[in-house]
Amino acid sequence: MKPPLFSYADPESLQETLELLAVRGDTAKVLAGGQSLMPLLNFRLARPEMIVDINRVQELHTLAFSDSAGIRVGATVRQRELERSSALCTANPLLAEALPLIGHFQIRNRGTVCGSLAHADPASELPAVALAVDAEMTVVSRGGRRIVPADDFFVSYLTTSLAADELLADVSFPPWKTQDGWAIEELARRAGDFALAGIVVRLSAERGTCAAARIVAFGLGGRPQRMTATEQAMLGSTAGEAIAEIEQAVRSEVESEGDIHASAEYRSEVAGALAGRAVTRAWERAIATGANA
Amino acid sequence: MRLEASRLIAAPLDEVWDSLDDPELLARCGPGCKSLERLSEDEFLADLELGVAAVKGRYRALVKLSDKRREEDRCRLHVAISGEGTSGFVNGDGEVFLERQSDGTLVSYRIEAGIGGRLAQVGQRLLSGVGKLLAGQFLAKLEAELGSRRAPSEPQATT
Amino acid sequence: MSDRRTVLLTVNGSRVEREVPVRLTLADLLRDSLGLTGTHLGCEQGVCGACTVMLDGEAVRSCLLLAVQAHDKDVTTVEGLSWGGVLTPLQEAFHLHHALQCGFCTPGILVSATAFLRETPDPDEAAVRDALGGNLCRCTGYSGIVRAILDAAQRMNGSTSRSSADA
Repeated sequence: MKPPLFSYADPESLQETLELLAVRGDTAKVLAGGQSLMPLLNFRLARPEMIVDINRVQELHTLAFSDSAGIRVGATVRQRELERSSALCTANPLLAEALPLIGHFQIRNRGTVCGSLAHADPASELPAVALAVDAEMTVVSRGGRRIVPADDFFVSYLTTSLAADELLADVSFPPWKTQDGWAIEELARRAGDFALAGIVVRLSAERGTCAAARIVAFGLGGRPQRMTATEQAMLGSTAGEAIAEIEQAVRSEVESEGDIHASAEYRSEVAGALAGRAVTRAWERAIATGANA
Repeated sequence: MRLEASRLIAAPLDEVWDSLDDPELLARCGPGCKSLERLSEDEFLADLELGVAAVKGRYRALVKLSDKRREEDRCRLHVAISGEGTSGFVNGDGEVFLERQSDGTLVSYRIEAGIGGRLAQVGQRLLSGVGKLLAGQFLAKLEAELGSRRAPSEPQATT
Repeated sequence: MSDRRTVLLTVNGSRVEREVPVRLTLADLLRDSLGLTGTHLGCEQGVCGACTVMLDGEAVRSCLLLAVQAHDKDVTTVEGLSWGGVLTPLQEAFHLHHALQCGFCTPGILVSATAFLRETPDPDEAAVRDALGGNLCRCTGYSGIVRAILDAAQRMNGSTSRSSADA
């Protein structure tokens, strides 16, 4: 199939982009990497009247690493660009582990970090990572800018809190605490397929016991889900302790939808099992940093 | 695909039941419902734009209500939907139950839905979740509509 | 903002200029407008990899790019991998190791593998299999493809093979 008719704009400034969105936002779609939008256009499942291609907007192509401010990723930065940054492993090892899981390298060569966040596919890894690390989205429009925490940004299936005239200009991942443990696990029938279920874990330990935990499940419902009850139950636990209980807790806490690929019950069960693996690996890393032996 | 859920809406049973007879109200509540035309007492023709975010399909659907049973505190009816559109077809067959509660009406539905064509092919893994989302949106809008109809001077029957 | 645009790009080393509808994909520009039908269309949603080409040296899905987005860029298709009719080591290895049958996936795999080997000149088998994840083949079962890629890497490096299968 082929894309439907649309008019095309490729502005070269952010201001021009926001002008276009202010006027045509209701019936326009922003094109960055195109790895999610182009399939929809090819199948004519989306029929925007206008495509606003932001790939020529230099201001959106920033990628900055800073010890104090973390990582700031502009809207047109490719997933591969971030993946290949030499600074990434230390700046955010969770992102470093998550990025190669996204699709295939050919997809990541064009797909953007912000595009994945704005598209909000429930099976995507990046929204779950953003939620696990409390990333902040910079949302801009002709009328101004606002900072949106990840938890408020993701609403439901393919839906974020972006208004029709707004653009996700960049995402900020906070500075990583070197003593933290982390892990991401996902299950897909083939590597690169949409995950049937996935778990992201971030773990802070003090003197060998869990001081803070973040467990985010993805691929199961409309948006990444924080397992807050399980996170609470983990406080004070030690490495390897109560893994079976954590698995059970996640299995009960998570809200799953079924489809022809997998039933809801199966997904919840997988989520539990992945949580066990992810927590175990997160502990190994937390301990390996030496701060918590 | 089975769509099954319950939701308590803050409106009295009688109003919810009567709303099923009001195509204009239903059209306003239905997510993506562009128009709803009554063909006969229990048959409607709907012009629907179903989907989420940028992904939408346009359908013309025939909605048939039948087997309506009305009791003092409970009602039920059978709904059958069959529609066709640009991205394929959509159909549904199932039951809707209304049950009077102290603080409103418990609306439950159990619908076997089928979606075929391009939208289903590409979006299969999102369908039941989005279906539930849209059903939830419909009920939320119905609740809001019925709530706003109640004139402020009328004493609230509940709460 | 009109419905047509003129694009100027380099394809397999040659400058090309075309006036195109803005909704034309790069894949269709290459195939229909330039007659380079080596690039194949399998799914048009980025999954199968048959349409993979190089854009400024990076392997990308040409079905997911608009032709207008290739303006001022450098595109290499399977036709441009070799010069003067001389097969590249990778293409020779494909021939030697029976790494193609119907050939539908082959252009996409050749382009992807070429890009992969540029970045990872000495991969092990696991790395090759991982890199092939983005290209679907219905005929070969991938073994010959994996052997071919490892063999090509070896030939280009002169290093000893790390494959468990015989070259």
